[in-house]
Amino acid sequence: MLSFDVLIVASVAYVIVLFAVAFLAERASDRGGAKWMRSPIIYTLSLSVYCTAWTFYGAVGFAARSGLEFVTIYLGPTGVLIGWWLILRRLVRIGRAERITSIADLISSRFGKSALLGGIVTVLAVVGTTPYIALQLQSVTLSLSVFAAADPTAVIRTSPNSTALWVAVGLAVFTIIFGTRNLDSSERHSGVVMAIAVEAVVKLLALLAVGAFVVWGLAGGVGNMLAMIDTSPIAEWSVPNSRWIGLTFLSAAAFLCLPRMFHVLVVENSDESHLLTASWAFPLYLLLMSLFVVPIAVVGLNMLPEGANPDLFVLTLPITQGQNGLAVLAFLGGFSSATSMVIVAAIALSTMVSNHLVAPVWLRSTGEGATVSGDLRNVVLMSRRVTIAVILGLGYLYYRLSGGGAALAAMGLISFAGVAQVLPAMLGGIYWRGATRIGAAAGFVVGFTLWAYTMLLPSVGVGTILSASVLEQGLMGWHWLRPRALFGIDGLDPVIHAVFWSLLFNTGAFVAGSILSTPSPLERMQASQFITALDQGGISRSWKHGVAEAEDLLLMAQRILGATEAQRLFRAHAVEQGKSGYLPTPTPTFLEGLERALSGSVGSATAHAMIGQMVGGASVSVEDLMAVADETAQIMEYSNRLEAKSEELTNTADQLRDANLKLVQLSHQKDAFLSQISHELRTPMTSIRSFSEILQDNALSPSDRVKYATIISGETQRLTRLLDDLLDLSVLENGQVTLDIETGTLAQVLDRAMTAADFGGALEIKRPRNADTILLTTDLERLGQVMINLISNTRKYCVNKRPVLKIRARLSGPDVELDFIDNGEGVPSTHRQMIFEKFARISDEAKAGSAGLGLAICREIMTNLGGSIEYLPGQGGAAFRLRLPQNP
Amino acid sequence: MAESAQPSRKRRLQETAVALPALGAVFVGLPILWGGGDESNAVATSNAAIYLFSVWVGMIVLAFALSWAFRRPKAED
Repeated sequence: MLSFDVLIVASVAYVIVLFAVAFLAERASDRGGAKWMRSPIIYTLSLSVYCTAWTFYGAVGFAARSGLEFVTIYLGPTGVLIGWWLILRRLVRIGRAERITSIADLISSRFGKSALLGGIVTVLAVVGTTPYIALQLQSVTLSLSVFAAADPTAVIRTSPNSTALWVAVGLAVFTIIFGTRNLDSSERHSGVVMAIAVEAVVKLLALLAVGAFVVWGLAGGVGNMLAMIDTSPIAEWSVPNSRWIGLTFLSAAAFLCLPRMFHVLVVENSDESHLLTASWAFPLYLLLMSLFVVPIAVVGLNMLPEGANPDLFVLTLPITQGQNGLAVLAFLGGFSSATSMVIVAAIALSTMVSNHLVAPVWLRSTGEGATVSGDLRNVVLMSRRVTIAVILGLGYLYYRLSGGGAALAAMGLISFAGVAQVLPAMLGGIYWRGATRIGAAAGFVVGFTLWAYTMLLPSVGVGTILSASVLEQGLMGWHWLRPRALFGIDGLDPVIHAVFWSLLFNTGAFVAGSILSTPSPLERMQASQFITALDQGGISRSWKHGVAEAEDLLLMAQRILGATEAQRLFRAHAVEQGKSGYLPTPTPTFLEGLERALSGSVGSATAHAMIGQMVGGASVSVEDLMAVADETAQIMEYSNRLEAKSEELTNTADQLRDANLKLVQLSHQKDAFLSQISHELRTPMTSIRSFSEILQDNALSPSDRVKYATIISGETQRLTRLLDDLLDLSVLENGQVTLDIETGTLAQVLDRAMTAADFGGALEIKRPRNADTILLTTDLERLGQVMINLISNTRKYCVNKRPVLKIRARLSGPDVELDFIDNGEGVPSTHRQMIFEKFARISDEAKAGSAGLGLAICREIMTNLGGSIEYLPGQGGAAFRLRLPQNP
Repeated sequence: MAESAQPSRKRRLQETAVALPALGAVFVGLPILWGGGDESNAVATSNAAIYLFSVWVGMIVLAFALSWAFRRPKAED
């Protein structure tokens, strides 16, 4: 019979060995030696924290209850590692490039360094992990109690509660000593990793030893073993259903999302190529771990009394067979499984809590920023140590409250399903550029809520949080809200039910939220950096060349990285910039490097915020720049719109002014025309009326009568002429004139015009010599009318005593130009603009003998002929130039 | 190996790395079909265990071969 004391001594000795291993490894790592500690094999062994006490002891129990189904828990991780190229490679690459410190940091960093998401994932992880830690404490207590039961003398000295407490305290001490020695997570925890590797070997050896003993010692060889399986209660394996696929998927998801797994997989990874080895070595490890599970279960069921706890077959089989050494080894294997899980989980959680809960709150509460406040390095380390203690305390508390009963055993899968809620956002974050913070947060909240409602709350026992009526009738009596049959779908396995609904709605909310929301610029930048992580070294999130003093930055960095490390970093950057001393110019490159170094210690969001505070207003983050650019673009667009509008208004105003001017002119013209025409009409009418009144007087001599009648007749003719001219002009102006096109020489037209305009008087007309040779095809009659007008005007207005009118003609391209130049005084330049207007006369009226419509008619005729008439200045006298096409 | 063959070899390795987990999924999912659609059908645990562990070993061997192939070009440099 094994003495309980021997077991205690062995355990303590084992713990001392672990401490020594961790200590030696740390020392070797500090000295820079021991390259083998960074070997792929150590990395692979460290992954074994996946195999907790739940799998060490529980797998056999699982197999005893449901046969081969237990392998799903191992097949999931096997798939993840064999498919390392798809997900793990990307995660590790991103983790290294971005100095990711935890899974919360990954999510926070990907979605725009969001403090909120980091906090959510952290809380989720703590809630999901605490029961799991309790489970480990329970397994240690339970296994101890097995030995205690075997040794009646021990019962007095130990109780399960105190055992659990001592284990928790011991683990806290170990984790604090080796897990929080240094801050920069990129330095990694050599001591812890080495201790875990040793434990990995111990638990594997323990299981293999028990298995070998069972197969060859108890069953009598492989053949007998197989025969024994075929006659055992689990000889029949009912064909797998949704649970087979669902559990495999769940274990794969948990393998990626469990904080402790992410820590050993990504954060502690020192070389990407280690994945190559782990891709086959870890599946092999898992295979060996599960190889003897079924045999142990079968033999246990066969040889141990009815009602024996199958979860403890690994221990009870050797004990009942008197194999004390083997039993101790098995105990140490289970102990190793429990402790390594707790240690790594505590480290991972403490990193998350201090970086994503404590640091943001602390930074906000101090307000002043990293410069004036105390030693942040101590704050962070302190918060981690406290967190480790608190987490283990919570685990212990949970263990006490749950009573250490069977409810705890179900905790493994519940915990898996809880952390698996991070999966959609994680995979979306590294593969889908469009994933946004809002989407991730929505997914978390929805998934986490459903998980709690369908899985966590029902598990803690009916009547504690969820009443029996809720479980039976659904929330508020709504039948379709029953926690174990959402939407009325009964008959599903509870685990599959919860995993399916929570992940389905989680993914749905994540996708919908991402599609409906717009990512911030920083988010977009981080997204492209994450998604292109495999293609390039990384794009910079530029810090503008700020005025932050390098000395201030050094002060801050020393607080976080430690003096030596900070000075080394600054020195390296200074040397790179070609400077001596420890103070490099705070270039964007340097600031970025510093931020990365800091984020290794305090997480990316906090590091970003700290540098932001330090560099302050002088530095502009990309987000700020983008915001400014956005605003500027908006202002410019607005201003452009205003300008365009104003231009349009100006144009409209100009057009209106022009239109108004034209209207005013037209109105003036109309008034002038009316007054002119009434004036022109009244003058002859007045004389006609006066002379006709005189004629009514009978006392007139016949000669007088004839004289007055002649005057009346003359005035009437003048009136008629005026009215003819007016009619003519009206027709011409309205374009209603019908042209009578014919062909003739210029000489013919001139002849006719000179004859018609010859009222006697001494006007000498000098005809052009080429008049005979110029052929014209136009309305010759109308052209003649223009010439008559010009000739008679010369007769009327030329003041020279020997008036001469010289006519010149020449061809100019398709046009004919005719100049009529007299030797008078010409038209004063001030009047040249108006001589072509109606009723325009520049000399006194009496002399005119016409209403001043002549030139106006000329202009209209020429326009109708497709030509023009204009005053030709600088010819000595009045000069007019007619221009008209030779052929129409 | 010829220089021009290197990219194609690398690409084929990567494609194999993607195909491997899919192959594993097919073999692991195969037991679902054993019952022929009838869930009450059952198979012998010993046979099922031999099948599953064989698949498992096969996948490990393939993963090992793949990782060996991935490392080889490095060694040649």
